Amino acid sequence: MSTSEKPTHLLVDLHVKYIQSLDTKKDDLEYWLTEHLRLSGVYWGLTALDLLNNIDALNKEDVVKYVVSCQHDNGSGFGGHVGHDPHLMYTLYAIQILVIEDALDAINVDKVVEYVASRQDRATGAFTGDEWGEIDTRFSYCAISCLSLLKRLDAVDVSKAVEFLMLCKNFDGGFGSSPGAESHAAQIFCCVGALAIVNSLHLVDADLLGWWLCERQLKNGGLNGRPEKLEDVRYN
Amino acid sequence: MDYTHHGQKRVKPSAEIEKFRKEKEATKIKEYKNLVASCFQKRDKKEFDKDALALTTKILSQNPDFYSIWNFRRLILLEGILKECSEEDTRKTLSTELDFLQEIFQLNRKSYWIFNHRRWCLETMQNPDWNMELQLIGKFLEIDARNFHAWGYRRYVTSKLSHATETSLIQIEFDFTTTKINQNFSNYSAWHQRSKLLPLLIKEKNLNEQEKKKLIDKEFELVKAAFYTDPDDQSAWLYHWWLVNGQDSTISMSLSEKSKESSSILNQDLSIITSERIELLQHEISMVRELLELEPNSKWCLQTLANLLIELKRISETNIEENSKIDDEVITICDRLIKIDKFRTKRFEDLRSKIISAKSLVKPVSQELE
Repeated sequence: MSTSEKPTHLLVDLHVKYIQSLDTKKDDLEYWLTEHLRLSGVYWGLTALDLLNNIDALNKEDVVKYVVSCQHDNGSGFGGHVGHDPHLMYTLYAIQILVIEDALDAINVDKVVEYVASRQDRATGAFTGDEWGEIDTRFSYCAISCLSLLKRLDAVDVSKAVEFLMLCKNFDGGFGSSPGAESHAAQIFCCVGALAIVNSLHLVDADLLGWWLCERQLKNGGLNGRPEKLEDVRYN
Repeated sequence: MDYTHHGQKRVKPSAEIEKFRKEKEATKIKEYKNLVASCFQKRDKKEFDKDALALTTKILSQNPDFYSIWNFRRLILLEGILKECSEEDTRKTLSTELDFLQEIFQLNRKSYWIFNHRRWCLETMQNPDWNMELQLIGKFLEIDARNFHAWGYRRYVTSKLSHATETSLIQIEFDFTTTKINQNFSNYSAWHQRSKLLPLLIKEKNLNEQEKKKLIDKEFELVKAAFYTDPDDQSAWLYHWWLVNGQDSTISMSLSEKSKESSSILNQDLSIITSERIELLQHEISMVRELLELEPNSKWCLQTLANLLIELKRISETNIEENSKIDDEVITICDRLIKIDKFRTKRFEDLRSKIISAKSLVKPVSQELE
């Protein structure tokens, strides 16, 4: 596309069509290799459609039915796709989708709350992504965001959760995936997001972190996730 | 013309090539789907046997991010293969597992799931060889010195190794960051790691104030060398600001004008600390000024100079005249930064207006008395 042909406004219809087409790419191996990301894909597609004022472009009934089918047999957490193992990350995606579609009544909320709460290590406040025990501040965000949407933050030890997040704070004001880990824009989203949900933003060093974050923009306008790295649209 | 997310051009293939590709793709899809179906069937029937393990090997070799398959693989090992194994056989099986992971790493050195499985193998083993892991991860960081999965794994391995051998690795790891930084000053991951190790090193060595100062002075020398190599590299400047602030992550920065602490508790200790800190700030200010002569348009130089001046004004008992001089200089710096760094003009405008409004509040004492 030459410069003169560059669109001057957002081509909403084309974007909507593109998102609708994503579930039809079954002739690509990539479609099958990324099955574990299907539920996340629905969330991103749906939120994009919502922003484009086209949420009905995906059939609500189909979406809700699909989300419910990703819930694990024992009615607790959600997997990335039908038959995939439960994980906090996908549980958040599922709850987000159901809240957007106003369809929380399709699931047993108490069971989900029980699952999310069981992921917290009460001694450290950290959350494990699943029963295999990986710890990451992303999962703290997943749990806190999920419970906040379900209005059930009382199910976990919030002050311990905050304590753990603060152990992940670094010399540059940013946050890493676990205590000792380097600051990363995506982890900062998770940690600051979680702190914001539980009214603890006063713990963030806003001036220092603000400085670090605004230096993520490079000369070409793009954003990177860490200092001295290339830009990547996922950080926009 | 299509672009991939890192800006490489993507060229459209001819129709014939496209048809051939599609046919090949269809075969691959069929094979892959069959593999996954058979594997899930085994899982649902709880068949934790060698055939199941082989299926997971095939799938994971192609798709190492398929987390449910890794989970199943661990179940196969725990509930099946390792169940009746002797200690020796368990070790052999898990060693083979580590070899398999090494192969998969060739495809992807940034997959959470591969690292998770590796940790699980080592933790399931009796007396794992943590030294071997340290060597392995050293190689990863040679290939990509910014791989944060690898840095995280290195921290994990060193903590395990240190625990197993009851020896401290703080100095060794600190030296490792020195090596990495000397190879490339813009290795922010290494600077970060250093910020974690420096306080531990001081604590472990139980350094007295003089020894501590000597060590910190060396840090200042290191960042200075980095500034002179590339004054636009963020890594060393961010580390420098932390050094200036006493290497305490809880101390906040002062790019925003802060009111002077109500420090009427001027005991002797505090005044010694303050005088040393003033000396440090003045030293760093003259260092930055020198560099600025060579690099008059370096925004990091200018930003740091502004930060240092603001901090100096905040902590020192300077008179109104001196304060006003500092304010004027910071305002001048802001004006220059607004011109140099177009993306962040609001930031500097904000700082500038804060200083100007604070300045207008300060009136000479004599006027106040009138």
